[in-house]
Amino acid sequence: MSEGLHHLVHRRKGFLDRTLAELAHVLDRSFSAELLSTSSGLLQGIDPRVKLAGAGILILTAAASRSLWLLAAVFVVTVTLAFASHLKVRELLTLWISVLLFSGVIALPALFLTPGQPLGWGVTKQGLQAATFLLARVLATSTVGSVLVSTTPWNHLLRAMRAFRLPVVAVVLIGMTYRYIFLFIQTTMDMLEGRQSRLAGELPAKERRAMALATVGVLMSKAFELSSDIHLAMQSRGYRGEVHALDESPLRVRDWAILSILAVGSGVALWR
Amino acid sequence: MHIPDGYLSPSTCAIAYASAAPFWYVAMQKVKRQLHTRFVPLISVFSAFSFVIMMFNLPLPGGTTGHATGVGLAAVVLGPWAGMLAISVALAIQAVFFGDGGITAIGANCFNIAIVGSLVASLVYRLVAGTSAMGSSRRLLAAGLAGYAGINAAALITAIEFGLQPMLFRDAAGTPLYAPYPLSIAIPAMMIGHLTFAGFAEFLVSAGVVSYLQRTDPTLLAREAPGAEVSLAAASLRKLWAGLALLMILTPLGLLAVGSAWGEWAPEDFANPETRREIASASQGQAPATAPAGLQRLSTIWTAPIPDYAPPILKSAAFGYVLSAMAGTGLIILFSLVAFRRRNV
Repeated sequence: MSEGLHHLVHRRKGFLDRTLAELAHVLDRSFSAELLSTSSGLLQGIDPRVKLAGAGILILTAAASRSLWLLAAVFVVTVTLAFASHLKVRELLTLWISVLLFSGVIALPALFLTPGQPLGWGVTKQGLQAATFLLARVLATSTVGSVLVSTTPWNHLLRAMRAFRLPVVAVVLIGMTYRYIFLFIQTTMDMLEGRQSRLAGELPAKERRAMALATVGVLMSKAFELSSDIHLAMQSRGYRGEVHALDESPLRVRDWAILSILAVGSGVALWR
Repeated sequence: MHIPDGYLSPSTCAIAYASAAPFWYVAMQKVKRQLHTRFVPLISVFSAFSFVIMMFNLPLPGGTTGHATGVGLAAVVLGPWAGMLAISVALAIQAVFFGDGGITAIGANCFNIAIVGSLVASLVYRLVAGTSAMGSSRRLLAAGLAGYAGINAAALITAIEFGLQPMLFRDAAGTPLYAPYPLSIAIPAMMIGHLTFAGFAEFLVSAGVVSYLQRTDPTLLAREAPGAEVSLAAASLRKLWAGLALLMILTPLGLLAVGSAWGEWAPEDFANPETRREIASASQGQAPATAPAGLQRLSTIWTAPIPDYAPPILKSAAFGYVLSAMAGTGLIILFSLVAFRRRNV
């Protein structure tokens, strides 16, 4: 690549490229999760309600834990289940690296700023423990959440939320929003790529801002138009403002057994 | 800004859920009553929009980029109640499906960003914008400040929640079990970033998008600017009246024009040698010897009450023009008022 072209490409890695990359990342992640959640694996075969409740128990256990060993146990159990459900190591590593980078920056000063028994170089024992607690807790809980979403189709997850008495209107809002997020992502990508393909060089900062804000403005106008269209479409199909959910089938003995083991295990571990 | 799992204790998360619940309930009731069957499609589509704009990398001055939550924009366009619902749904989806923010912290994130942020943003917007015109720069500033204040209020509450953790949750050896920094560190650490970059990104997206909507689709701003439409109309009407008055005063300028307008001749003009010359010079040398029979006949059907804009009672031609302009404008307004009232009945 010539130096000039390289410079141009480098310069153009501005808000357009970054926003496009983030949007593409969300699409990619959702697509991978959707593929994995419908494949065969240990967690894929378990009732979504059990998985949701189980994930809730594990997350609460990790959140309430006062022991690093228990946090490690939650993490190991989750990772084992993830591998048994064919989750890719690369995806887990990406998650862990991003979590460690984000929370690591926040946890690092605690090593020095937390008052306590000195260990050398300004680090205190309490500071080291506080930082380790924070990182271990974030690592364990984020892994549980990621494994749950990666092994459960999103519509099953919504139905499971309804089974836990989340108001039906909230479930419907989350479900519809989730659907339209992808439409908006696609629309935004089309708009940004359209602009990008017409750019021969770098725009001044003021124009870049104006372009970003105009894109948001156009997107908002489209959102309102779309909501009107959806409203009319819903009304034409008989929607009168009331939302209903389908009845769920009862849990099987195996599901109850898994839930009971998790609940009792977590209870005992926390109590000890 | 999105608190992950593990930063807040379970009891803090429970309190946050309990604090958010009444706001969600009231918001749901208010917005449902307001929107009826439009509630579900509008909130869900706006939530999807909010989710996507949270991913925008906004170019900020100094060559850096920043993200905005859109909380100010939601409050300005939808109002605090619908705005807090839309942002809450977006935050819940971010946490559950995309791991951005913790599942146990959904209540806290919604309380801080969606609820406190929306209420503060809406209050600031209404206070600063007042009943200013829809297209005014004051409304623009109000939107920007709403976003700035909303995100900073949310950041302050988040910092307080963080700062309370080491005070309340330590083990026997004094090790903080959750967010490790006290209020004296948590508040400045959070606020420095939000009072500068994050606040500016929020200011920019709120004011910038409102500016765009003012030019392209001001109706989207009407929901949260109840007095603005009236003041916009009043401002426009004031300008219209002033323009009309000026035109009426300037009507005597017509007296400066030499000759008569082509085709606006009276039957007697054809008998007058001077006006016949004018007619001939303006009509390639053609001037009928006498007034056309049709013109002669029809010109007597109606006699104008103020012929040639010169009321017979007035000696001043200029004043006559002004008076005629006033009478003509008054008649048009009267006719318009009658017609408009009939259409509205």
